[in-house]
Amino acid sequence: MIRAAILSFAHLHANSYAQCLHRHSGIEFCAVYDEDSACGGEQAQRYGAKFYQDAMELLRGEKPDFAIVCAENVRHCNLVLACAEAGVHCMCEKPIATTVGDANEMIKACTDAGVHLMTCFPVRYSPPVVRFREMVRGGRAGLPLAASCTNHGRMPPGWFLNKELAGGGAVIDHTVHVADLLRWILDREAVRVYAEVGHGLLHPGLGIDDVGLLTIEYEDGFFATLDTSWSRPAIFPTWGDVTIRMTGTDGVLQVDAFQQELEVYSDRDGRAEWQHWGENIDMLMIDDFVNHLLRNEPPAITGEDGLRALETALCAYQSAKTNKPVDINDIRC
Amino acid sequence: MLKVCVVGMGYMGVQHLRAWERIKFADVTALVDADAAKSAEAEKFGLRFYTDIENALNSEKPDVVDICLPTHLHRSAVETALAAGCHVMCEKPIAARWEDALAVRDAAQKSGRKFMVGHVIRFFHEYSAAHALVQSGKIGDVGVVRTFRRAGFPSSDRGWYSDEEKSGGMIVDMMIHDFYFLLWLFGDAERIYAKRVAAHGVDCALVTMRFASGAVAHLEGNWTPGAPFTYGFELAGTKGLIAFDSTRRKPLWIRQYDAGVESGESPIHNSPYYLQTEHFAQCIINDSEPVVTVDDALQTLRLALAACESTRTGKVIELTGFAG
Repeated sequence: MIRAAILSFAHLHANSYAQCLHRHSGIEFCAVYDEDSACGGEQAQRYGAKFYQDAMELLRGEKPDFAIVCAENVRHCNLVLACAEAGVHCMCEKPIATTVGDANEMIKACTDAGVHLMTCFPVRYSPPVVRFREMVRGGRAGLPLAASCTNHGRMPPGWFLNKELAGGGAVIDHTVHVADLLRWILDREAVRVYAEVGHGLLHPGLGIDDVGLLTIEYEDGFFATLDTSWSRPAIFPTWGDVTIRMTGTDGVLQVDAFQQELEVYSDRDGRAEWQHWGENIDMLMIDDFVNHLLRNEPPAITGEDGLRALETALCAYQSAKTNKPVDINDIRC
Repeated sequence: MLKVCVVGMGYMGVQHLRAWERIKFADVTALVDADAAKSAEAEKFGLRFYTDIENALNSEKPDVVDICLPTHLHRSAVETALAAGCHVMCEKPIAARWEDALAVRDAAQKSGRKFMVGHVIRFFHEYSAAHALVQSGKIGDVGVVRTFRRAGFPSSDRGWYSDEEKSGGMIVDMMIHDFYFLLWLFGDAERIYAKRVAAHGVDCALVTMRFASGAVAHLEGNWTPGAPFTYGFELAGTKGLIAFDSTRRKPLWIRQYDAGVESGESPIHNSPYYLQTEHFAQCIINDSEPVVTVDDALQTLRLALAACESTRTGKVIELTGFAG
């Protein structure tokens, strides 16, 4: 039995991860850490796990096989370093960190300690996305030339809107999934980013970016645009989307990762909803992490993968400051 | 009764002719096309035919000339028709080159006649309804706009489209509609950054724009082999969102078993071309200003040319100080 813990329920995804750990027949969800003892305690009780108000105490006391870090973005670094110090393998919610420096520190600490570090990019496990990748790499559309992508969302609550905790708004939140997917699908590195970023453009007085239109250019001339905006209104039937429309020399390939939905119109609940019935990608991701762990193979998505995706987001912020395209190398120094 | 001559009997000429036919207070008397074989079209409609615009103007002395020629021929035809004292309608874009567009503007302003460029998107129900909803405050202040427009790569018999010298290329010829829509929504833009790949029988451009209001837009245009014509947009605002995708709205659909092909239609009684032509004709009768002004047409072209410049230089183009 693999023993797992969740370090912080700050991120919305922690709830889904918790349910996955609980339902996975090969995993014992043994412990929860959260700064907030009321919230953390309640979660722990729900899953029959032990609550700790101190992360290091949990790691040394419980000695879980792995932990999933779901804290506010800025806090990922310290928690992953703690895992490394305690010799606990680690899955880390996206974005891996808010600075290149932190991400590098996390990667080094885990490498030196011999622990696995996986960046949580669950969309890699979406069956439509997996198939899309197969088809692109199988040349079904010929050579990829350009792609138009979206990762829309609704405005999230709480710390997501606080730059001190999140490191940024819509751009850091919604660049990384697709930046990672494109890299994974094309086996190509981004070299330059141009971005138009809007602050409180859709939510007046927001004080953080809620709109991002990126143009990402790759080493061989391939280019992609990415809309990271929190542009779905509160009443929108679903949270957002992940879409890639790729034009190639021989065809056009398009994927809408979360389109497997029911349209639900409920007077009881007073709204229309598109409810996703597709595969639980969080479960697929966690299961894959565990399998790699058991086979003693590096995780499918590494800390470096997380860092590369983060670089694209940080490059976008830099570009928005200057209104010019910025080389990714400039972010790396 | 307004006397009308339609110049250029390609696809658009026929569309415009059909629109004029429905206008009771206008009468198309002649068609003009350099290709003598097109006289068959004129015969079909019982109209006189000329291969030369000047002969047509001298003989017919029309009130209105409707120019549906390839883009590189717009300027000279417009100048000739305005000089002859006619009101002039001209297909989009106003021209492919900035100096030609300026010349058309000058001629239109000096002539004292009605002049309108066919930015028909204004008369597309989807677009005008969306614009009206935005004006009504339905979705608050618009912050992000996405547009797409996709078509089949022009075939060789309509060769002038794919000749960038003549048509201005895909960005000027086809994406011009979305540039007009954005101008209509936001007014002028501050800057544009665009990437384009035109190779392997594909022409694909992705354009990013910023407007003075702070709003941003993403435009996608592509020509790919065999593509059906599709278009759509999404407007995201402070209070909501409006979206349209032509691929999802086909009230009429057929699949024939043996032909193995399916197709859809969205039938409408008052086509955008009819509404556009009717509007122009009314402006002449009432001596009112067309809703699409020559300056609008000029500014729209300017946005498209700025996008082209960006694709060529790899630079962000600031609109102030960009002179076509």
